[in-house]
Amino acid sequence: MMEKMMLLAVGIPFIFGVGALMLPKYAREAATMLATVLNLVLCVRMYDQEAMLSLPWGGYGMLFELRQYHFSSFILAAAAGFGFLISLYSLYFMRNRDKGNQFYAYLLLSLGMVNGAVLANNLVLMLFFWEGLLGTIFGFIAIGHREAFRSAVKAFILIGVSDVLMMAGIGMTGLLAGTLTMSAIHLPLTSAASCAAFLLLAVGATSKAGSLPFHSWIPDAATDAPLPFMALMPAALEKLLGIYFLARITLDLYALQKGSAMSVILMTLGVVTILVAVMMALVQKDFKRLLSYHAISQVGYMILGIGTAVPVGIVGGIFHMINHAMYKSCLFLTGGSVESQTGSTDLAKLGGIGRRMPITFICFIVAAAAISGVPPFNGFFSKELVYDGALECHWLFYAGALLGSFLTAASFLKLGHAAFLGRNDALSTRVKEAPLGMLVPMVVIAGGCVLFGVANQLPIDNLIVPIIGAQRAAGHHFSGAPENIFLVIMTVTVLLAAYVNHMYGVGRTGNGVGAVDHIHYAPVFHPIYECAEKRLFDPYDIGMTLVQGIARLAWRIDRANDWLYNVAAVKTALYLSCSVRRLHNGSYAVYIVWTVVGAVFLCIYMNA
Amino acid sequence: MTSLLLILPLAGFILANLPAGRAFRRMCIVLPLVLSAVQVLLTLFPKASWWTAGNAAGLSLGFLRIDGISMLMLLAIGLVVFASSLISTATVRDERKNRSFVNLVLLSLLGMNGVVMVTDIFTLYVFLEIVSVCSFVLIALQREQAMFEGAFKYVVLSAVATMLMLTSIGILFLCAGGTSFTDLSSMIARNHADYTVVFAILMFIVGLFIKGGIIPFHGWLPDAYSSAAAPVSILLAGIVTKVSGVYTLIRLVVEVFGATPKTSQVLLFMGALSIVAGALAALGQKDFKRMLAYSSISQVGYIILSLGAGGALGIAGAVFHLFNHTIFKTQLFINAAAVEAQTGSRDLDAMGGLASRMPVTGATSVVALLSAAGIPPLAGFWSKLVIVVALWKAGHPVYLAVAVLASLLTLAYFLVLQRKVFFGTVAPGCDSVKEAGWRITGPSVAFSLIIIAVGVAVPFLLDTILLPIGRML
Amino acid sequence: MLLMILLTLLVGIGFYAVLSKTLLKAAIGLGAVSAALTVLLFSMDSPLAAVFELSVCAGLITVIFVSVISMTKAAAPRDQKEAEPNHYLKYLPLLATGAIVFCAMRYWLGDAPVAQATVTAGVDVRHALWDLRGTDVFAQLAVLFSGVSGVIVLFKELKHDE
Repeated sequence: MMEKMMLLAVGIPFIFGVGALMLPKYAREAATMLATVLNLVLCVRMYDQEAMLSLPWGGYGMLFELRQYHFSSFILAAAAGFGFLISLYSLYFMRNRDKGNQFYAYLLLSLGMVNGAVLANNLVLMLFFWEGLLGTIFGFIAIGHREAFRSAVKAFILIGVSDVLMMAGIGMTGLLAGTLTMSAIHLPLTSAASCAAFLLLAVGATSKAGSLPFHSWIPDAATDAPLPFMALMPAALEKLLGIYFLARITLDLYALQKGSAMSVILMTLGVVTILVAVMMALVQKDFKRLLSYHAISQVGYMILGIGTAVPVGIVGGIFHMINHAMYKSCLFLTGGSVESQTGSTDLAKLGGIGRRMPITFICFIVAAAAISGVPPFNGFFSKELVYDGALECHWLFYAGALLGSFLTAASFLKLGHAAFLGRNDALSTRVKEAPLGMLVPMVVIAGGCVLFGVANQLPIDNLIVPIIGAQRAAGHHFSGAPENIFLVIMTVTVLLAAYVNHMYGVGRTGNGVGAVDHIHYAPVFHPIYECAEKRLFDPYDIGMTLVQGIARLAWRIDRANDWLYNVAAVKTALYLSCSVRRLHNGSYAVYIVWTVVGAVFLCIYMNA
Repeated sequence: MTSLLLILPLAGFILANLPAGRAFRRMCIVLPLVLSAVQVLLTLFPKASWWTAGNAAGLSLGFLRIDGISMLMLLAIGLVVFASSLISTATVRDERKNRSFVNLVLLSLLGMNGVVMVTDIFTLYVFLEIVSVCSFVLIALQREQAMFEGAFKYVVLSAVATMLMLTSIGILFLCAGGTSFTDLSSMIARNHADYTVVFAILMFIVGLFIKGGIIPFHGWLPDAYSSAAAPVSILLAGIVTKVSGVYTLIRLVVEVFGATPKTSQVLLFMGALSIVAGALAALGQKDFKRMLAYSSISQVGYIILSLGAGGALGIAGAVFHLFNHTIFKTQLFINAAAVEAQTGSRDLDAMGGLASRMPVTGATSVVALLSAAGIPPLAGFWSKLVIVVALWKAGHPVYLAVAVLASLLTLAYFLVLQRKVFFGTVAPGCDSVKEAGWRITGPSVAFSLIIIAVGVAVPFLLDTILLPIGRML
Repeated sequence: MLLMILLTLLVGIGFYAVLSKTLLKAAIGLGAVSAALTVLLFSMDSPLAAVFELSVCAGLITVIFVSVISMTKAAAPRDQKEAEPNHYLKYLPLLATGAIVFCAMRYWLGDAPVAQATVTAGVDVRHALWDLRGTDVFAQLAVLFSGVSGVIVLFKELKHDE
């Protein structure tokens, strides 16, 4: 029974996705809703059941293995929930936009791929579904508007490169372990090969989640792709998938030890991601781009948490994942309703709409508070757990994370002020609140943020602690109020400092948008920001320049090859042919002389 | 009954020259057709009792023996003579000339049959002379200036070859006391390091090289092939050179002279030289039949190369390529005859786009071209493959590389030929060209079918026919 | 010694026959070559071959040639004067190389360690011709026929045209 349900969970979104391509407008919307509802029901029904399925597929250990256990069913249910809510939202968002059939198709196909990747128990099968998302992401971005193609290609290439690295990691893991079945692999991180494989897998997983260095497609996608895509993929599903896989790598496939070199590398990656991305987020002038940089930044916390290899940190990281999924998608949904009601996401043009769109504004406040780590919302609790774990390893990591918190809070104060507060006569009169269909998902998710914060035992004890297993969780107490008061005091101090900073900034420039200008134009940061604006640090652009150079070189080689065959060989043959022809001058006396000379030479050869 | 293959053509010759009425004489024109057709049919059933009947009754001429390779050559001879005679009825208009052609063809049929069946070296020489004399006259049949020039060159160089062969036979007879293959081979096996014997062998081989058209002894070949009339070119290129030069070389090197390392080296080198020089010369030609003549030199080089490689595989490859070359070269010369008959010229630059006007000729020439270049699944590919494998097994990587690269050259000049004559837009002078008559296109189609059939059936034939030939010799 | 003289004579007359200007001189030269060959064959102890050579070639053929040529008219004087005179000296290098090759071959092959089988002497000619070498006789017949056809092909039309 469970096996069939697993197959259905993978198959239903696929079939409906293909169907959505072909159906006319109302039929496909109905089909999408039906698909997501069915998916949700199925996944909730499957929740916390154990089942395994193994079918022959390719040879050499590549089997069609699905496994449903606590972790995977949890992620599955979460993905299904987000899928349902975002579909509901996009019914209204996409109402007046074209290419709806492709949008819904990609949405359902992505859902199917995520389901498959989460349920997969075989490395190659998981890779199959993981890579399938390449296509759907590309399609999602490309249907945004006419010039979106370039961003789509950029996304495709960046994700593709990270997937290739993961493929290499999967290959090495399979070789080291001797099997490709994920539940059977458990390798120690002792040899160089296993460390290399682990790193490759980790890079692949974190890049899917959106961390450095394969992150630069997300801000471009934010401006080009339709907004529900941003709410669904980079915010929710990719985080779920990436961190799920990262957790599996560090817990199941490899045994990450606290304080080991791998752990330090992961934590460094996490902190660097947090800081770099949030610095970039600080200076953005576009609603969606700002949110997308934050999406990148928050992944750093998750990586930091899981990288500590300490039970507290791991629980914190996974909890942060689910929290982030909730508040980031809520933030994007609010951004979407702002866009659809006002027609723009440029912060300079927005302002003063808070009074006209109260529900959107309240959801925004809840989500922004959650992301900044304000108690009693869910972000605060997960961040505390992460800080606890980071501090256990080294105070540097803690300091970096805390700085990230400060900057996060500052940038969200700026965003909220610029978008919703202040005065803007042009907009203030004509905007209305978003339609009900767009509001419902926002409110539901915002409510979830509150719930997971106040009653955090529910998610932590029921959902997350079983993931890390009983023996690791023994002796620890995760839920409820944080144990370490020192951490709480530091957090509150940081939040107050952010508020002060914001007031200072507003006082200086007079409006919300310029609230962080004093950081933007500070002596050391200004040139760095300038370069970043010019995309000098973008690894994609650097890579593309390199690729251009290689392409030119290859073209040269091809020309030379061509010359060799078309010109050199032909000319040589013709020259030789002319010489031979000239030798045959028709005089048979010459021919007889040849005969005699030939005979004499042969004579000498044979007798010598 | 094998001597019937010799006696019947002679009887036919006498019959054709009886002082009977005009109607009877006109009927005698079909004599070579009938005789060659009968020969083809007989050789297709090598196990029939016809071949051995009459041997015990003492009715046969001495020194005659038929083994596998002789059977194959008889088949080839029959096919080419049939094609040549059929085409002569269409292209040689004058009735008197046609009768002369018939006479000479019958005699050359007799000569060639004799060459492939004898076991004595002097008899071999005499039958070679029959073939040579008939060829001289055939080339000059229509008595034009170019034909005389070609015939004369052939006469002179052939005389040199004859002299060399006779000298060699004399010395070998001196040393062995007899001229049959068995006497000679045992003598040579005993004395193979002696200068005199080596010299004699060399003389004979050089004579055969001249007859077969190997570089640098090939001076007569381009002029003779290109200037002769169409059916004569077919006969010459298809079978005369092969039988008198190449087949004899194979037979003698394997049975009589023995394949010593030095002989093998000579054969390999001359073969490779012919392949390359022939192909290069063919690239620059402007005359249809001259290009085909140089191509013949090149392909004969392949046969000699394979012979030099030695072993059962090498000899099988040589014989197979001999047969294939006969078939596709005859095919190409038939096409040349068709083109010459319809357009009146052999100049490549004046022609173009004939494939749309002469579809059968174009299609069959493509088949022959692909077989010559060694494209699967046609027959030429298999024989080239056997040659390459034989070279590899004998350990001659450089020659192998030469053979394979020269295949490219072969393809190159044949494609040039095809493009200039058949593909492209129709040239201004060729608008009114029609397809040639059935007497020319019939043999053309038949030969193409043979190429395709042999190519497809070779995997089945390889073990039953070819390898035993190689081991038998 | 005799051998040397005869061979040199043979080659010299051969050159004369090939290089002479008139057909009559060439035919007579051919006859003289055959005569020299006959003497050679006699001196090498094969009288039968010498007799055949004398009667067939030196006799029959030369007579036919001379009689046919005498039936033709000489070419117009104009053509004869414009013919290029033959410089015999330009063939000296050829003779020199020939002499060198001859000496070299004599040096290398002269020792003749190969045992020369003695052909059974005294075999009846008729037996040898008809029984032992019957196929050769048959082939010679065919050669004869081809020669005759060749002559017919090349020359018969001439009479009809004129």
